[in-house]
Amino acid sequence: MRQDITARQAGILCFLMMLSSKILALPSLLYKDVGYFAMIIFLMLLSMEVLFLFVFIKLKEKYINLSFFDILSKFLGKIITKIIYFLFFVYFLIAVVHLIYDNFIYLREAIFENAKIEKFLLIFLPIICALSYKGLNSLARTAEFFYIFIVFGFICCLVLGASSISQFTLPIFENLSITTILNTSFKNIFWFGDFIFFLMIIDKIKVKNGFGKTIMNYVWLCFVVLLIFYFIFYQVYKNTSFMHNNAITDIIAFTNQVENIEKLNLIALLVVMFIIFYQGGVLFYCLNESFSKICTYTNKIQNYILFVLGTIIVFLLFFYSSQKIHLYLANYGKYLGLLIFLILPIYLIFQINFDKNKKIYNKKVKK
Amino acid sequence: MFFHVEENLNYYKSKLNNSFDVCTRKLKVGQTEIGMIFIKSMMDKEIFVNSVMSPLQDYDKKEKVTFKILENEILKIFELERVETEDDVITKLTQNNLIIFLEGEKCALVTDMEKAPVRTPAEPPTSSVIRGPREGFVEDIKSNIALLRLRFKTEKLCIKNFEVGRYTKTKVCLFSLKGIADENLIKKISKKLESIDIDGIVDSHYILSFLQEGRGLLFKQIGATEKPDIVAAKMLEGRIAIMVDGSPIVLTLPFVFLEDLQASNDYYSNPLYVTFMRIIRALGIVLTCILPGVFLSFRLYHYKALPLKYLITVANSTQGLPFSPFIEMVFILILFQILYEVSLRLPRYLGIATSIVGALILGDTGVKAGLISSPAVIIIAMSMIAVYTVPDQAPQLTVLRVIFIFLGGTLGLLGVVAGMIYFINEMNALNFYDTPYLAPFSPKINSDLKDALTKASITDMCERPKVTKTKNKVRLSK
Repeated sequence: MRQDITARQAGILCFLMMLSSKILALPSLLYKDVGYFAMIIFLMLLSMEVLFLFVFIKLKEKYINLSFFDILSKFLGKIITKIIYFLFFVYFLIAVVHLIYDNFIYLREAIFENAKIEKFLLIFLPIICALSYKGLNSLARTAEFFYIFIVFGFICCLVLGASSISQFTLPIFENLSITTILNTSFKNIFWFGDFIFFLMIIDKIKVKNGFGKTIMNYVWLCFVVLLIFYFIFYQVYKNTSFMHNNAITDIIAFTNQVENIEKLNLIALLVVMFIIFYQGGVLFYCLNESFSKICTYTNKIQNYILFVLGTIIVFLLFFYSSQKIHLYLANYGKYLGLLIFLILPIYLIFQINFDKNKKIYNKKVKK
Repeated sequence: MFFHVEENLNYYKSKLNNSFDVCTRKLKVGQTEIGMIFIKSMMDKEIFVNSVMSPLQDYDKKEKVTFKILENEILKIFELERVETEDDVITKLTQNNLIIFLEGEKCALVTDMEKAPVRTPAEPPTSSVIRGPREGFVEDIKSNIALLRLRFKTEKLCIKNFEVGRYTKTKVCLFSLKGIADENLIKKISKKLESIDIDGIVDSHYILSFLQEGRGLLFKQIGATEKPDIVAAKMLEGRIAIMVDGSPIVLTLPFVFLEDLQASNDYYSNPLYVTFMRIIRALGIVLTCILPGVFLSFRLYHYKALPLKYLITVANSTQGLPFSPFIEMVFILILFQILYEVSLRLPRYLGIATSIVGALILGDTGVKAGLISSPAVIIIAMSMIAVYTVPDQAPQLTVLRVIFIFLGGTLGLLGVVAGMIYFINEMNALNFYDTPYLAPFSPKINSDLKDALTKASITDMCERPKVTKTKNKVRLSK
C-alpha cells in the first residue's frame, strides 16, 4: 500500500496534534502557576514549538527522501541514533499513557459517571491499534475527513464561549521573576512537543513546490485559534481559571441556552472524543515507527506482534500503576521533554546550517 | 467430424444427449445432400424459413453444391462462419447456432439463429427517475449492447468479449472508451476475467466476487447499475463497464463511495436542488448508521446530557417497560427486518397486508401494551427509512446500523465515536484498483468536488474526475 501523504494531510495532522494536547488541562495549569502571565508563556512556548516545526520542514527540504533515522545516523552514528530513538519510543509511550489518563478523567467528569478504566481501555486501545496498524496513509486521510467537523465544532465552542463573556477585562500581569517564568515553562514543556511526531513521518510526505508553506498555513491557523481559545477561556473564568481543568467544555458552560437547544457541551465533548482517538492513533503509529528503527524488523508478522505487545504493555502499565505513572511523568517527563523538544531541534538547526553537502540526498532512496 | 451428413447429424445429436429439442433436418440441394442441426427451442423460425429453408428448396440448378456456393449464392444470411473442429461445432450449437453439414465435407457452416425470450427495455424498479431516460438493461446481452451502442456513435468504443463458465459458457463483455479509460486497468480486468474458472455464471454478481480486491468485504467495491445512461456517463468519466449475458445489472469500475451518493436524476435537475438533495442523502447515511446507536447510548449512559424537555418526554414514554433499552432496540430492529424481508418476498398484494399487520398492528399494539416504547419505534423507523436515500448502499448500512447499536448499547457515545473513526479509517485504507475509496473527500481532490456533495453546473465541469486516472482529462472545450 502506498504510504505517502500530501502536504495538506501533513498540515492537518500537525493541526490536530497541536490542538489536541492544549485544550483540556493546560490553560488552568498555566494559570495556577503564573496567573494571567500564562498567556505570555503559552505564546512563547507555542512560538517555540512552531519554530521547531519550521526547522523540521527545512530538514525535510534538505534531505527529501531520507528518514529521520537515516539523517541522524549519518551524522551521529547508528548507536547514538538508536539511543535517541529509544528516547522517542519512551516519549511516545508516555504520551499515549498521558493521553489515556487525562482523557479518561475528563470523560468521566463530563459524561461517563462511574466509568471504569477497563471499559475505557477496552474501547480506546483496540481502536488506536487498528488506526495505527492500517498505516499513515489511511490515518492521514481519516484526519482529512474529520478535520472540517473538528474545526467547525471547535469554532462553535469559541463563538459560544465568546458570547458568554459579560465584560472584557484587561489582564493584569503580576510581577514575576524570570526564574518563575522559566520554571513554569520548563515544568510544562511536555505539553509543547507535539511536532516530534513529524520527525517520524518526515520521509513519507510528498514533496511538491510550496509543501512547507501548506503545512505552515495549517499550523498558523491552529496557532491563532489556540490563542483566541486561551484568551476567551481566561476572559470567561478570570481569576477562577485555575479551577477549570476541562477548558474546552468549561468554556461553553455558561452558554447552555440557544433557543431550545440545551447542553451544548456535547459539541465540545464530540470534538475531544474525535481528537483523542486520532491523537492516540498517531502516537501509536509513531511508537511503532520508533520501535521498528530500534529493532529493525521488516516483516508484517513481527509488526503485528509488536502491536499486540505494545498494547499489552501500555495496558498493564496503565492498569496497575496509573497514579504512579502520572506522578512520575509530572516529575521527570519534563527532562525528557527538554532533551527531545529543545536540545534535539537546536542541534538540528546547527546540522542544517553546517551540512553543505546536499547533492546526494535528493535522490530516491531505495529501501 | 465425418464426411457423411448422416453420421455427423447422429453424432452431434447424441453428443447433446439426444435432447428432444435438438432437431436435425436433411434435404437434397442440387446434387448434394445437406444436413442441418439446431436447437428448436431457441431458434428464430421465421429467419430460418425465410433465409435458409426457402432458398435451399428453391435452388434448382442440378450441380454439386459447395460451401462457397451456399455462402455466396443460396443462403440469404450475412453472418456465416466455417468451423472445423468438433469442439467448435458443439460450442456453436449450444450457443443456438444453426449448423449446416455438406456430404463429403469435413467441416461445417454455422450461423446465429438465436431467438431467446427477451424482455423489452423498461424502467428498472431499482432506479426510477422523474426526469431523464427511462430505459433499463434487460437480460439479453445483445439488446444491452445495442442500448449502449445507441449512446456511443464512435469508433472509440471498445468491446472485449470473454466466455466464462465451464457449463454456462456465459458471454461477458468489457466496455471501455479508447483514449479515456485507463489501459492498465483494462489489462488488469481482462486478466482477471480470463482467469475465472468456474462451472457457471448466471448473473453479473458472480463476476463481482472475482473482481474484488483485498479483504474489505463490508464495503462495496464495484458499481452496479441497470441504466444505460448511467453506464454511458461513467464510461465518459473514464470508468469501464462489464456486461454479463443473462443479467440486467452492468458492473462499473473503479468504484468510489461517492458514486452511490449520486443519482441519475441529479444530472437532469437544477444543480442547487441537487446539492440540497445530496446533503440530505449524506444525512440519511449518518441517520441510518448511527441514530439508533446514539439514541441508545443517551438512554443508557448519558441521559443527563439530554436537554431536560426531551429527557422528560423520553422518560415518560419509557416508563415501566419490561425490557432494557438495548434489548428493546434489538427486538424492534429484528421485528422491522423480518417485516422487510417478508414484504420483499411475498406477492405484492400480500406484502401490503403484511406491512399493515406489522407496522400498524404489531407496532401500535406493542407500544400500547407497554412492551416497546414509541421513541424507540420512531428511531428505528427513521433509520429504516433513511437507508433508502442511498438504496445502493442499503446492505452495508444495515450491517453498520447493527454494529453501531451494539457499540452504543455497550460502550456508550464513546463507542459510537470509536466505531465512526474505525470505519472511516477502514474505508480510507481501501484502494481498490488504485482508487481511494472516499475520494474526493479524503484525499481531497478539489476539481472532483464539483460533483461531490455539491453539484456544479455541467458547463463548469470542464475536466473528467481525476480519481479515474484518465489520460484524456478535458471534457469540455471552452
